[in-house]
This record gives sequence, C-alpha cells and structure tokens, in this order.
Amino acid sequence: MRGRADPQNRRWSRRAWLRLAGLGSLTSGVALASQDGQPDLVSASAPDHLGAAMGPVGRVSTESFDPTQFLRTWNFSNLPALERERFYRETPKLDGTTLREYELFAVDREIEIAPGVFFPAWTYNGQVPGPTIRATAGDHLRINFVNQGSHPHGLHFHGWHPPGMDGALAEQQVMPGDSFLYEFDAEPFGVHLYHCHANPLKRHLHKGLYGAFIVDPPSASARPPADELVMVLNGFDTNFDAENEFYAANTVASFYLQEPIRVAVGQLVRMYVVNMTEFDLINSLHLHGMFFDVFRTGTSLTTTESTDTIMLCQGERAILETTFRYPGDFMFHGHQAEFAELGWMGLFRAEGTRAT
Amino acid sequence: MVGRQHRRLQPGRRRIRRWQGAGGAVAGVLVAAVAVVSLVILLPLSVSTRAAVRNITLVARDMAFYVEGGTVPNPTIRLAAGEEVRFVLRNLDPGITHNLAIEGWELETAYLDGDASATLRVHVPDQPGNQTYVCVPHRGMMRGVIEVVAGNRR
Repeated sequence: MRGRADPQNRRWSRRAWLRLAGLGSLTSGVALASQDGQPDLVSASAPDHLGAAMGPVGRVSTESFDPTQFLRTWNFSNLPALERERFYRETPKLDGTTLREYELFAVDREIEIAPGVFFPAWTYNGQVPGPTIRATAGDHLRINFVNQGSHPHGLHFHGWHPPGMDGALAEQQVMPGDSFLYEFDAEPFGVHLYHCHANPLKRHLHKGLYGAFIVDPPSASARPPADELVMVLNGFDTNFDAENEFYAANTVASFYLQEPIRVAVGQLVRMYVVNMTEFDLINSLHLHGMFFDVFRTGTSLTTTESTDTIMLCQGERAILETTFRYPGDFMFHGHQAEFAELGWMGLFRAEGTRAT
Repeated sequence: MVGRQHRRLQPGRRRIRRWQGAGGAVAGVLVAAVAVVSLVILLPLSVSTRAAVRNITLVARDMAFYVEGGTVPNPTIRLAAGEEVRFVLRNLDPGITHNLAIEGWELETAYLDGDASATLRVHVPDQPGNQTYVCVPHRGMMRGVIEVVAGNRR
C-alpha cells in the first residue's frame, strides 16, 4: 500500500488496474503470454497481488449508514437538532450531572455489508453497530426501548446497575411491540458495550444487536483533547453456518480501505475499540508504522501497555491512543490474516507536515 | 389484395408488412378510432377525479411518518367528512419494510421494502371522529391520528 503515498507508484497502479481489467476477459492466468509467446511473468503476477490488496470491487451505499460518520458520532450527534430530539435529550441536574434520555428501538433491516452483499440484520435504530451511547460518570441514563422487531429483544448494558436493569434474564426480554424503560447511572468510566441478551444469544449478537457505551471520567480534563474514533469490530455469518464470511471495523467490509480515516499529523488520536465479533473467539487490531498506548476497558487513566497489536476477546474492549508522526497512509487491520482479507482492513490517512 | 398479400407472406412477418401500404392505413384509422372512443369514455371520469380527490403524500423515514416536506413526526391529519382522499406512501427507509394502514376503516397498503410507493384511496365517512393510522409492523413508533371534521367538504 506504500504506492498510495507515492504519485509515481499510483500511476503504475492505475495502469496495473487497467491491465487487470483487460485480463479479466481471459479465463486463466496460465494462459497469459506476451506477444512473442513467452509467459509474461510481470503482468501475470503483479496485478493479481494488487487486486487482492485493493479490497472488493464497487462501493457500498452510505445512504442509511455511513461508517465514516459513525466513527465520530455519539448520542445521535449526526442528526439535525429537531430529528435528534426524537432520540436523545439531555437535561442538566442541580448536582452537576446530566440526565440523558434515549429512544432506542429494535427493527429488522436489510443492510449492505460489502458491495452488493445484503444481510438481513436485526438492528438498534436501523443501524449496525447501534448508536453509540456516551455519558459522563455519574450521569443518570433513562433509555426507553421499543421492540419493533420480529423477535423478543432487549438491552443489556455492561457497567454498574441493579439486577432489574440487566435485561438479560428470560423474563426481562421485551416482546415484539412491547417497550421497557431502563434506568441506571453511568459507571464506571471507560469504554463499554450494550447488546441484546435474548436467546439464542449468539444469533441475536451476530445479527447486529450491539453498540458502544462510552463513559467519560467525571473530570472533563482527565483525558487530553483528541480526535476520537469509535470502532466496533464485527463479523457477519451470511449463510448461518456459525462462521463469519465477512469481517469489518464498523460493519462494512474494507470500507476504510476505500475511504481512509483522515487524521492530522501531530494530533492525539483516541480510539474506542469494542470487539463484538461472534463465533470467532478472539479478534485483534494492528496498526502499521507506529505504536499506541493501551487503556484496557478504559477504566484507568494510566496506560498499561505500549504495543502495535492488541488482542480482544468477545465483548472485550480498550481505548487506544496514538499520535501520527508522519503524513501518509497507514494500514490497520485484524492480525488474523483471514479476517483482514475478508474485510477487516482499513487505512488511516495522516495529513499535515511531520512534527519535529 | 390484402388477403392475397397475407397468403404470400411468412406468418412471422405479417405484422411488419401490415404497417406498410394500404394495410397500414386501415390499421391507423382503427387505432385512431379506438383512441377517440376511449378518450370520450375516460375524459369525464378523469375530470371529476381531479376535482374531488385530494392527494396526501406521506413518507416513512427514520421509523416515523412525515407529510412530504414536513418535519413533524407522525402528524395529525385532518380530513373533511365525506371527502375523497388518496394517500400516497413513500418508503425512505431502505431495507426496512413499511406500510400504511387505517385499521378502523379496514384499509391497508401493501408492504414496501424501501424506495417504493403505494397508494390508499379513502372515501372519508360522513361522521366526524378520530381514527389511528399505523405502519403495521412498526405500530409502536409509527402511529398517528386522523381527525375527521364535519362539513368543509372539498
């Protein structure tokens, strides 16, 4: 992928693509030959490799879900004020905390997870991952959940709450057409998750019922200002054989390969990474060309680890912090190469001049 | 002459030949005659329809109904008693199935899977009163009131 930063290589790669398109009409790579009848080894091998590295052909529609917008959206901040009020309201309280009220619903929706690949998802608010919920530790959350889906669902938050608000027991499932009001205080600070806990659990999870739940430390200055990004690692079992056929950060396979995440050189970047992959026991995130500080579960303000690859179990999450030193493109992906090739692959595009 | 021509031609080519020469003229006259007759039949109907039927376009978006161009979710819709109304529902939630039903009047559109529209023709009863309109699969969120008011027949 170095070619992306280098104009000379980019020209070459476009030519290679054209050549690849031309070769597409031939049935087999074995048949490739130059005009004198000798095998043309360069054109036979390079475009094949380049093709694999470029991800899928075509683009996914971002009309109903835009992974770029999702990265920096929480509490429905992507919606215009009037629309936002339907789903999110905040009221300051006298003790300095905030009452945050949410309207979440479950609904069946067919979503596009790779160009031309549609998945019959179960969603929170029509999107996978569900909307990111974000509060400050000590805030009071009031979440009205309406099940508009075709199966029993619910909300199960990770974090402190009384048992009646856990949403996981069989009798706590919300039947289609019913609703339930979840109320609890946001704690502890960190990066958490919410998901449906209806049975069979693995099906309800892989169908798309999950989202990120971020709780900020009580002091606003506890974490330095940063460009903050939400990444939910997920996979999709498109043929219901209990194995994933597609993987991604934020649902759409290879999306950030085609639309790199733009960041600024010298600016602190903070990633809230939640692993919601089902069926595969672990997932990981590897970032090229740099290291990041790890705050596991985000429950400490002190980093415990500096690395370039973090492993996450199902439901495990972490805050990662780093600063891009060099302008250019940097790959990030699951270090399970199979996941990467099936969509869990993206690029950061750092812009600006190198900090000295 | 036309008959002789037919006998000479292959069956598959008849239609083509018919539009050439004398046969074509005959067919043209026939088509024109049919058009005039149907126009005479349909014209009074379409004129009366345009005068009496009110179109109300609703869009289904983000799990709510909106009057097209409106910003109020699930708005109250006021109809005049005895009025003729045609509801047009457009689904702007790709991948989500919506419809429009006024169950008190036993009226319902087909289910739409996004980027499609359906119509519901309603002869509003003469008695004032309220009805509920819903999207059947999402009645928990997509639900509004139809107010039938007396008089003011359009």
